[in-house]
Amino acid sequence: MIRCLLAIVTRNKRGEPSSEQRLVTGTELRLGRGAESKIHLNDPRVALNAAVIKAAEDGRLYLEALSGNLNVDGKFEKTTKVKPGVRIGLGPYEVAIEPSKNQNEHDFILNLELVEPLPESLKEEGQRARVTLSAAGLSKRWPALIMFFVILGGFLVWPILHATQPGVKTAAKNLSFAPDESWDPGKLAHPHQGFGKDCAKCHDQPFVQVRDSTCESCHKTIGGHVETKTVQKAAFGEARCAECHRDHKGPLGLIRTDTRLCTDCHSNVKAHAPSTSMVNIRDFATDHPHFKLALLDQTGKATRILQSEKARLKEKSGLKFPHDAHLDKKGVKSPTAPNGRVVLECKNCHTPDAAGVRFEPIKMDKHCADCHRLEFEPAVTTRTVPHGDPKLAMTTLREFYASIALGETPIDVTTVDGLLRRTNESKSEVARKKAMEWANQKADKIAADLIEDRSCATCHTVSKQAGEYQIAPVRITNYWMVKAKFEHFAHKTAKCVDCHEVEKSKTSEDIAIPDIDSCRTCHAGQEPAKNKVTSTCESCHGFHLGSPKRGATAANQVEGDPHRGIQVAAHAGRAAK
Amino acid sequence: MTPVMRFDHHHTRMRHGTFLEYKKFRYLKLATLVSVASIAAYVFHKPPVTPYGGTWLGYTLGTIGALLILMLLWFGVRKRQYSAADANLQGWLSAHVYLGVSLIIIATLHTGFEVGWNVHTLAYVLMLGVIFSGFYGIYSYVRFPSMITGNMAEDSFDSIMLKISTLDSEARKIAMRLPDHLVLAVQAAAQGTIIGGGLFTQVTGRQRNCPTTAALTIIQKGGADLKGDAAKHNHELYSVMLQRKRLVDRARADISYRARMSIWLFFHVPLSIALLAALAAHIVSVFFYW
Repeated sequence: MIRCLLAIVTRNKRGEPSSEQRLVTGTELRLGRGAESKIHLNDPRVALNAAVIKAAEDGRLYLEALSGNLNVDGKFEKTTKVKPGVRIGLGPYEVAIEPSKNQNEHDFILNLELVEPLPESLKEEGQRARVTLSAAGLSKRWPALIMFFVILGGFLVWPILHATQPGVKTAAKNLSFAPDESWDPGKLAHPHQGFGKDCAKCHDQPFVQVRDSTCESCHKTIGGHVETKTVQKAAFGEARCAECHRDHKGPLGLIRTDTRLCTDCHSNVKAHAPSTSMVNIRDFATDHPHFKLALLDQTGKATRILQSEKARLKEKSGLKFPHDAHLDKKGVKSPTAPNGRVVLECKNCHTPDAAGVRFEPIKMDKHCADCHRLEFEPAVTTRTVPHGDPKLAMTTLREFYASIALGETPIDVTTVDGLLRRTNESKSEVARKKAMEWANQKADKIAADLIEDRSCATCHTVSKQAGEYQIAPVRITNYWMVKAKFEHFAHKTAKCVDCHEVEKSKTSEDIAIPDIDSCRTCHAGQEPAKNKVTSTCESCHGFHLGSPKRGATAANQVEGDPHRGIQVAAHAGRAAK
Repeated sequence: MTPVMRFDHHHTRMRHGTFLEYKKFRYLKLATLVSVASIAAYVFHKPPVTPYGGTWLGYTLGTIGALLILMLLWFGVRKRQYSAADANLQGWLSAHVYLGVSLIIIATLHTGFEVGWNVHTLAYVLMLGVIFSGFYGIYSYVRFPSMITGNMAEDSFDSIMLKISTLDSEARKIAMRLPDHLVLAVQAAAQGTIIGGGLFTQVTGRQRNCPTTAALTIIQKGGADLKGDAAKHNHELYSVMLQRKRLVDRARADISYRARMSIWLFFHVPLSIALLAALAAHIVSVFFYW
């Protein structure tokens, strides 16, 4: 047990000491800043456990530094003997040991004096400069405020004022950019780029979605999806244009080409249009029905017939045309060919139209007349009857033979033979009548040969009603799949015979339009397949009525328009009368 | 009425671990759930055109993202409200961190990976700036507090400064008995040693040509020529100045740790306020030109 009389020395203004004493005991006496220290040194500069007084094995007392060093009479030591007269510096304190004055009560006296009092103010320490980042000039508030107001002003307030205040708009007119350009989420579609800097062209009302009427102010002719207005409304409701046509999606992003555009409804089409006769379709590869071909009847009305209904699939064009004979590898007889025969190819008759989509209509004078000549008089090879109207042909025959009978050689007839001599007799009334009779008989005889047997009947169905020849009307279908678009130019890499088997066709009733299986050899559905062209609905079909991809409807199957309608041979209408 | 005994779990449970482990990673789980749900929705969502902020999923993710941003910003207000009755800052911080990270996923999916030179991408980039500065914040909160404690041990910054000042007067006394150039070196160390300073000095915790280090070198070199008592005094002075140097180093390390622990906030806070403005501009502009 160590018994120590602790004397805490303080000094008055004149430096005279006075002390406060108390007894401290323990097996060891700890000195330090910590409150548990027996000898409490209440100063921040002192360690928590600065030193300890304890008895060594020899029974003597030692003061041992627990942190830092002891300044023992000017020397730095780790430990020192506790003996009278020793002075120990412990941080700002000085410890002086005195001998005991009452051995019964305590072993020694420990004088403790704070010799280096705390400076008055910590701020006097010049070396404590800026110790926080704020003191180093960093600020959170200023950058925050500046950025906040710059962004809010530049990207919100200014564009709104620009859009709503004409004055602001005028003031910003000469800038190389529009204030609301910063709102532009992405590139516009090509057709809209021309006016794209003027956002209000489409976004004409703040906080209102782009309205259909705004779209329709330019897109005046575009139709809905379904012809029947009630069905259109039932299936599409109040759907806005912009629900499908999202702009700012890049130059080509305005038009949807995904399959879901169609299959959302067409995979269960009756749910959207209960009265429809259409079947459900999800994908071209899996459940697309057979194609329907538009076949014309004698009145020119088109009926769409499934390609699977093979018995009904006969073209009644009114024309006799065996493809096999015309595509004979040895050639067909030709009066103009040097060796008398010409080998025909598809392209001799089927010339692509200007758009490269379908083909120019087949024309007698252009495609047939070189071989199928309408000469009627073996002696006069330059004269032909006009094509197209049997009445006109008869008139030509009668005129020709009448003028010859009357001795008037037509100016284009230069051949001199027995026919001419015979007409040079008399011009009496009787003779004229006789000549006329002869001419008519001759014309009728030639006509019977020409029309019924030799020329017209080769290609046409000829009948005679009330003494007049009738030619069955010719209606060659040029537009088979009216609900789809098919572009021949896109299929240029294929040969005609790859899709159209006509070489063995003996009759014009045969239809050589490829069926869906034929298309599927090259076309996959929406899922890619090896060596096939991925094809979505949009590859063949259009959405809007009136769009070129949509194909024709019953309403716009225009006669004579090879791109939209159905080709009707030019003479058929007149002949039918 | 029968009084019901209630255990307040909040207080009975030992609260240990960091904000990252708060309530057995409650907010990590929540953030993961939100992120995974967002990714799943994005994967299964079949937008009519391309995925972007204007599809129904885009609007949904945008709304969640905007609400999260407001909630995370509210943390800045919340942590200043000491009086709040249910102040549970560790919980708030835990939520702030994990939900903040999940915002990267939510907002990126909201964009549909569409970026451009516009206010929408500005908001997105500012948000990423806030989040990534926050990542450094997490790192600093995990790393520096223990380093600060380890460095300071039982001292405080002020006590170190006081100790330095005591050592200075001791050193001055000893130096009185030594040649002039040593007195000057001690004086220079006392007056010219700068603790703290500018941004760079605070962060690096170094002073170029530090007078205390210089004094040590001078005392060491100067001691070679001294003999007898002077050599002894010189040795004592060296000991005092070495203690001074160690204290100066610790004080500087303390400043450096604290600077490195708080510097990210000078980006995090202003960027988040800028984000608030950009977010407002983004949302209003989208619906102004709907």
